[in-house]
Amino acid sequence: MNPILMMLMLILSLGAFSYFAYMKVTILRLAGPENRLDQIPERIKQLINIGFKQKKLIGRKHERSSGAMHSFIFWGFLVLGLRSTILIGEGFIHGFQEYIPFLNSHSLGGYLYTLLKDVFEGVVLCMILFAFYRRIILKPGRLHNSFEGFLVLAFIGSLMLTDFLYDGAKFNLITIYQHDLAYLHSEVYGTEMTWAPLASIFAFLISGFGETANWGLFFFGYWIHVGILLIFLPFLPGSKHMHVISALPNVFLGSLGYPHTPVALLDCENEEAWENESLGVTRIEHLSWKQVLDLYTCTECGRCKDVCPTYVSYKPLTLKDMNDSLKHYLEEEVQHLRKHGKSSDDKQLVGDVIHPDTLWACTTCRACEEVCPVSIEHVPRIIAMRQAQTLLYEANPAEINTAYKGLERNANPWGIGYDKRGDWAKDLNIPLMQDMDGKEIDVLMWVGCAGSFDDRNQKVARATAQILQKAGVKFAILGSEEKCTGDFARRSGNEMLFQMLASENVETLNNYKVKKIVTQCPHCLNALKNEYPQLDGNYEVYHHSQFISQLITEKKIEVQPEAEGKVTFHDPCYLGRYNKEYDAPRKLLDAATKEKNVEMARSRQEGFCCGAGGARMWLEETIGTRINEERVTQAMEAGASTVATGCPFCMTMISDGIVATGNEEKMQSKDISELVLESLKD
Amino acid sequence: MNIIVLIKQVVDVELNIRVKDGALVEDGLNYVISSWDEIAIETALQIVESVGDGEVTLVTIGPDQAAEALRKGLAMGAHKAIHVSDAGFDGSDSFAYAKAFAKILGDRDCDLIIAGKQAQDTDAGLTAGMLAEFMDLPQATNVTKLGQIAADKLTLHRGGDNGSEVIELSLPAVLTVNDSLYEARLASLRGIMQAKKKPLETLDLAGSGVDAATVGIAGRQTVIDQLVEPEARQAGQKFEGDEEETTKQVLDLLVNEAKIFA
Repeated sequence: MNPILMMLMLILSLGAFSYFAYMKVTILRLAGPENRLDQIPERIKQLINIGFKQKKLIGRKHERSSGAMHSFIFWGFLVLGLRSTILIGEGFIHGFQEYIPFLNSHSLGGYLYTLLKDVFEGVVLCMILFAFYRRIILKPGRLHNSFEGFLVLAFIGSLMLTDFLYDGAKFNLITIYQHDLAYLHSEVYGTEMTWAPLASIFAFLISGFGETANWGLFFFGYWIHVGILLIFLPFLPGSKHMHVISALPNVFLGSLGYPHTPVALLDCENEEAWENESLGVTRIEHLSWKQVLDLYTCTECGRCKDVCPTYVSYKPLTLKDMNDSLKHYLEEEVQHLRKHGKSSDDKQLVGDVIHPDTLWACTTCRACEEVCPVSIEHVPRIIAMRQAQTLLYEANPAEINTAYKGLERNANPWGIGYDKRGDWAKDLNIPLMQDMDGKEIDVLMWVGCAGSFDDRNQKVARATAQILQKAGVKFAILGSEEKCTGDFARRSGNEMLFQMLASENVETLNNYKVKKIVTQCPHCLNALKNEYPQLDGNYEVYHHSQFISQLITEKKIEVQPEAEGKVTFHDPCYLGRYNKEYDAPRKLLDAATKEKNVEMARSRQEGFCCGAGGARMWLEETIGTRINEERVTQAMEAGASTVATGCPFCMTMISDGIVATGNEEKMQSKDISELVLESLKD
Repeated sequence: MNIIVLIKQVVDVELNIRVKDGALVEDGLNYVISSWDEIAIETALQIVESVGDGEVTLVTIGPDQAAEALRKGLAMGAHKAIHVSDAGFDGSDSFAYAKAFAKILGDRDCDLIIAGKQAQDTDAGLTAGMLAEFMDLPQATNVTKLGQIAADKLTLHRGGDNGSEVIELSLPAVLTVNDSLYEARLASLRGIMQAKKKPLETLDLAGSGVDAATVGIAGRQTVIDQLVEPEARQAGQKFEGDEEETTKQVLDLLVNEAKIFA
């Protein structure tokens, strides 16, 4: 077309792009270290599933339409990237495509690609129209309409239209006006025109404008297309559409296996960290480079906000805004950071940038992370900020101190005498580990604080133990030797207390050479299974729903449906999203209930938190509405008369919620083990 | 403003306290700072923090393990601690301890001596009161609220059975505090780390200057006759059903079984 003009445009575009991208990379290099380049094959798998297959977009039942919209635009980008390269090549060399193997006139590939490109341009164009319709007419609550959002849609739409114009005019100039322009044609496969039905329709539409007009549209289509493309490119690194570049890398670099990297095992007595105030995150540069990449990758789609129990209950935390605040603060501090290697003291990260109420609202339920299409990890940075607040500044909400004191003195949040921990089991003849004298057991039953001390949850512990007894499982409990796993201390940033409790528990468990553990508390499960390995505690840990469902499979117990009414299962976050168990508890319910179970609108991966996770159990819920009442309302809407749970905190929250919403006549909450026990055949 | 806080390490009363052959079964017990003494530490810290200068010194008489209680208090923010530890104190009662404290504190410079209104184990509440007498200092017990703090005087509220008194007290003086005064702070991690470097002076009987004849069995005025476990409380009785019917049943039991009018 015009090699000089094309070269000039390319240099400008790529130059600007490289500059902006380089500036972003240097910011990443100012942030903290983190290893995210291990287990490459696993990462590639993650990239394919979440990235290329768009699992978090088109794979979500809620918002299937907008998910499909995005997925097709994304796939369109992949297909049309090649087309754009060909067009840029055409700027330098007439008939550029003929020089590309498998895509020239003599290869079927060239024609198939023409068809694919043609169809995808049409699809993307439809998606863009749908996107405009959605933003202007439907206005979903999670989106806030920005000029940038519309600009990018307009860019993409124009890219499609201009390519159609270019192709259409080209077809007309060749077929009607007999000009010698490059196009694919061969005796075997026919001409490019027959493989491009949509472009041919465009050709037909503009055929009546005459030769000059078609020449005009030919050049217009071409240069505007290439021009938009080359403006779009350097525009990306500075905008929220950075995700076009960084989303796939961010997904590739996302946490593997366990939903996110376990909370860092801090060296709480590191004098240097105290001096620099760098226990946890106190300054923006304490975020790791991956966490900074997270900030830049956020597209502000608002899915995290939509699913967040705190947003739904009118609390100040919206993850999207938190991400945004951190990103903008980082931008503000970039100059200072580059100059002095640290951010300025003008603002406090927690206090000025992030409000403490925002920080402490999080229940760590991970709903935000589960839905995030670009694998942003929200919870670890919240916990890291809480660590600094709790350890360095003692700025944690004061009401949790009573629970801390209980942990310090008696290893349970209520501060009840530790020697009463095994009292719930007194009449059940459950042996204590200390009386086993080295005799083998099948499994250790980890009771947890609630199962040991809380009236309602003691019944759950009893039900679980009785099922194990009926199945003939050889098991024991630790009794007064068991201590809180430290879960809520850790989530609230009290790493010191967590490490104290965890290392004492690991010592006890390792002394008894415990290998297998069953627990009815998902928080204990998560700590024992995923966090104790940090302190050399390696055990095979099962939730009681998993263990009991295994007992049914092995025919050690037999269950006959007894439970009446409609039952719904409330997924505990630390069982579901943290440990990916959704089926075992449902299998137990299917076995124990007469009627078919109902699902709440938000279940499984998208289950709605009860409000007690992340140490919220021990904090007052003074802002907004109550999360547990919201959940009970959802259960009512599903038509359930029994809410089944598998977590002591959920049990407390749901039971309280039922009473608070005045539904105690219509609804009850039960643990899955209680339902199974009632249905057990003798 | 320099303040001395008397603290006592006691058995954690949340635990099952067992008695065997007239003696406490120590196995499985944990020891903590008596909760009113934690309030005393908190009060001292609050006063020093609000005045803006001065030191809080913790003093305890107790076995080796009582040093833990002092470290905990230092971690809460106290500046230094004195641990008087000697087998010679075994068997002391409140009177003997008050005498000993009077001797130990006698020549130390301080503006206030604060203690919990009683210890959580014996619930006697005598030591600080007697100490004030032995040292000839003014005292206010069961303080529920602090008012103005000046260099030589203090206004405060003290709770009584029929209301509360507002008192102005000249300093130095002895206070004992009620738990409604403050909520004791937690020992922070920073505090725990700093506590390791704070001065903790350990004295034996001779070093403390206390006359051996005034403490232990020789110095006590009271004798523990016997130590027994309280009987477990009987489970209550639940009445369900028709109100008229159950009211009659309850009245019948109260009159004829419990004999409340007899």
